[in-house]
Amino acid sequence: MATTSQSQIVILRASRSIKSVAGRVLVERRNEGNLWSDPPEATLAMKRTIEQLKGRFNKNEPWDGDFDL
Amino acid sequence: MGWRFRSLSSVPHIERTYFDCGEQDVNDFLKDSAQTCEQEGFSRVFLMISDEEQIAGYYTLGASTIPLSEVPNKYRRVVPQFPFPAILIGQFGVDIFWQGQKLSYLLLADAYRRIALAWTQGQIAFRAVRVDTQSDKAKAFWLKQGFIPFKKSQNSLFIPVRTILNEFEV
Repeated sequence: MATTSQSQIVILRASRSIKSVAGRVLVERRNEGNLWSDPPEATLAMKRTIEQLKGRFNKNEPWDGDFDL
Repeated sequence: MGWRFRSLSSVPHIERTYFDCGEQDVNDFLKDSAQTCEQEGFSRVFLMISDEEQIAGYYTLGASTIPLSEVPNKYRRVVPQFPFPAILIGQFGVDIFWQGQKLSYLLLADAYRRIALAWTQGQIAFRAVRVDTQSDKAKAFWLKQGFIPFKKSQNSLFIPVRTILNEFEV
């Protein structure tokens, strides 16, 4: 029957500890300022550009998106 | 003045040979390649048409990516770590006759609107909008819109699509 030596126990504990730290780092990386999901505000130029057709945006439009202004 | 915003596929017989935005490559694309690119699936072509049935401006949308190595470090804090899917605004031009009347912004607004539509309809996933510029003037135009230069290829720029979606309140 295989037994776990003292040195193996130490290694196992260290390994679990490393995995735990790695998991925390991953979670932190996901949570810290994700600029793709929460980017800086649009510039004034972009705001003015979009403002022109914002009232025409209807997410239920058919895909071709054609329209008259 | 009224405008019609149409995909080229919905008005395939519209006169394209007289379009002149001052950039030969952009003119030639519309005259010679636009229809083929549509049919072969390289890009979609969208037109802004005047009351007189003239093309006042056009742009193309296509699928693209942004290599991880081109993304500024602060935009790399996300997993998984592979190229970011993007929509490419390829060609973009307004006819000389209509230039100086800020129609490029109206044309661009339509491009943003269609990109937001593509997102909300959920048929394709992408994280950014990409442009590749040919001149300093063009680059300045996109920088003013808030686009961010690639790390190495400084003539290519991107913006998180979320910035556009937020403005459309999506």
